[in-house]
Amino acid sequence: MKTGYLSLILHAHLPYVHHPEHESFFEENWLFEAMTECYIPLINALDRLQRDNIPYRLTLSLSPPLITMLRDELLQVRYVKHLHKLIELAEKETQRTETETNSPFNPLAHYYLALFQNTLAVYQQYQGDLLQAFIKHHNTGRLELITCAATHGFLPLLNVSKTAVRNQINLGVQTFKTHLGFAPPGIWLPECAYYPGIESHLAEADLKYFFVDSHGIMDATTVPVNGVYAPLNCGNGVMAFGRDTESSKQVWSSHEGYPGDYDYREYYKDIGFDLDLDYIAPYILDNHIRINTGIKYFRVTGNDDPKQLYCPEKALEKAQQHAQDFINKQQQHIEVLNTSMDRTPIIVAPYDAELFGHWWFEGPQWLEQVLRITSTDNNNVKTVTCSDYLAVQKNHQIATPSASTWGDQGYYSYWLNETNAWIYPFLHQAETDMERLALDLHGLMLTALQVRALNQAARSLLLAQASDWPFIMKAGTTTEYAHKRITDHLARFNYLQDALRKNNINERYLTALEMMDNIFPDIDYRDYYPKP
Amino acid sequence: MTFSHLKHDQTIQLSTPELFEISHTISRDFAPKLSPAKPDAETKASTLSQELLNISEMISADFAPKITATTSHLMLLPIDPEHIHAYWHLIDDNESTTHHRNDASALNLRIYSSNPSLDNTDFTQWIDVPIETINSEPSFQCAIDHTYNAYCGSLGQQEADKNFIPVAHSKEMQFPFTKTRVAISEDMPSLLAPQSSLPTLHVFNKSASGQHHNHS
Repeated sequence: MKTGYLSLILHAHLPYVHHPEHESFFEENWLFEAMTECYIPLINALDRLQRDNIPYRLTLSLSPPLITMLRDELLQVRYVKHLHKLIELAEKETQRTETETNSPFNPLAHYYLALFQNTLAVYQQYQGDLLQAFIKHHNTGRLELITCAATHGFLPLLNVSKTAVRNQINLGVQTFKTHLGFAPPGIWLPECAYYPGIESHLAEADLKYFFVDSHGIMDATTVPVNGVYAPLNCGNGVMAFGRDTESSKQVWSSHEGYPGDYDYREYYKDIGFDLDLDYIAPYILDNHIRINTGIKYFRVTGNDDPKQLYCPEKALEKAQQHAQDFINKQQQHIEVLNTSMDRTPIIVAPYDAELFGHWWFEGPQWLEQVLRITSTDNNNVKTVTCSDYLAVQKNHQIATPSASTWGDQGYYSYWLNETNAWIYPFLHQAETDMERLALDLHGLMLTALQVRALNQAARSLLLAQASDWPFIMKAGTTTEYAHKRITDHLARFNYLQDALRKNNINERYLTALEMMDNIFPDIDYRDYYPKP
Repeated sequence: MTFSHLKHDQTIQLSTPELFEISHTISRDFAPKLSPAKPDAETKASTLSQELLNISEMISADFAPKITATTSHLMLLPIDPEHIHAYWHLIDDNESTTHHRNDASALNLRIYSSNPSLDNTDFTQWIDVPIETINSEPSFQCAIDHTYNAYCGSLGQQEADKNFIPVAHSKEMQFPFTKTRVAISEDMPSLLAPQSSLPTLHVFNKSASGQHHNHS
């Protein structure tokens, strides 16, 4: 039985949401939900694998906005408050469900209470610093950590300026180094968005590999002799690994994929929407707008109502079956691939980290089981990281991938369409203005206040460039917030530019902006001085 | 409640309401515009009531003054193998441009293409796209022939005598997409080709926040 490699990659990213100007802010819940449902369950799974000495290999990309938010003191304090509120609600639920009518829900109420208490305990165990947990697992040699662009900018559409792309990449690497203490070997390009030529910036940043969608490889400048099952050398030594279609579909697809199984927890049935408003009011938005609380009592069940009660034990059993099914399919695939390839195939399976636990509640359990199964000797699937693969496989086909993304339709249209095209003239103009500002002040003796204002202007520009805002505009979810974020950051940039050019910097205003957009403490505006 | 920052002046303490007010003021007065119109000091001083301020904001938003860019320009952006996006700014720097803006239907977006691999590097091929919405939406998406791999554009008027009078030019855009799937299917073992089309990421309703998917 010939062996093949399986490289599982989780891309962890959330937009930078940090609002000290409000006592609480709803969109900060995005981070809190991801910590509760995704990151801490993932850490729990990795802790169990370490405890059982399972020799898995897994890759996790951490975006700089997420890294910054996980380390932010204000958000850490607010998260603990959020967790205490969840625990309070779960306790209340254990009492409410003691009545005869609601008694079927009582064991689940206790399940959630224990879950949230455990989450708080884990958070406290790592002193509120989840990055420490990831670093710990990196240090065991099992978890490979990689970076992403500074604010998850959609690089192909920022590429009207090489400086814009260079700064997104270099600052992504710098932020990673600052917080994690070592250099990232690879990068997850935001939205898996590649364009020919970006590899030169990656090489400058000493990055060894990145990922493209399958058609990026298949439509490369020369025919890829091993399909998407071997990386391409972009010509400068930087490697492009292609996403495998089938393994993606098995997990992503809501119809064919595992998450839609009837025994898994139903995302869309949450007590925040189902219980009496008077009862749930203290735990929803502004005491009257219904939101998800994270307590859900039903399973997917199927298309017919009523939904059936969720059973965690049965769901775990199903996750284990699906993990085995996933590995079986990879085994079959590898056996077929080995008949056609001149080297050991590598199946690259990247996913959004937030899929596991948030949308697919049992995802972390499935992932843990996949890693356990592949560690045994009775299968031909070996988990590797891309660094592992490149260490053993030295010769690679040289070709340039085609421009591509992993978004809808596979190209740039999700980030450039009738809902969001209006942002690009502003983003491009602000980039040009920032570079001109740096150029105009190049070589001049600046005061500390001017330097602070210049650096803050660069932060404002970078935050406006995040791909999250055009994504949300197209998805039609929280479009008002996305619109406001882009215009706010551009307004802040305009304000700072105006203050600098008029030499009229209000330190109080500048300090306020530094507090609100408290990211990239080591940024250097001189990086916007255009380079050849 | 006050907040700390790595590098800010520790002697300055700001409360939550103060931070909110500063954020609100900057967003109001420095909202991005292609031709930024910043309220002058006199206007600021005169805004004695919230109502006046609201009116001022509305006017600033709805009646933004003219573009401050020093030259007209045109930008081309790739979307996918069949489409590009164009946006532009025109300034009224001569009679010709003014005439064009008053007669939007007269303007054409001319997109030139070349393919160096076919020894066609001179942008001698082009298509003309009539622009009829220039005053309301200075951007456009159009279909292109993907056999070419470099594009540039001009915005201008096609005169009756066939002369094209440009008023804005774009830089050359390298088209980043390739289309070789036909060749692959012939040259590559079918086992190595993707088995089926990828599911889109959005079938699972992925977004930065799931809240608005629920019970909508």
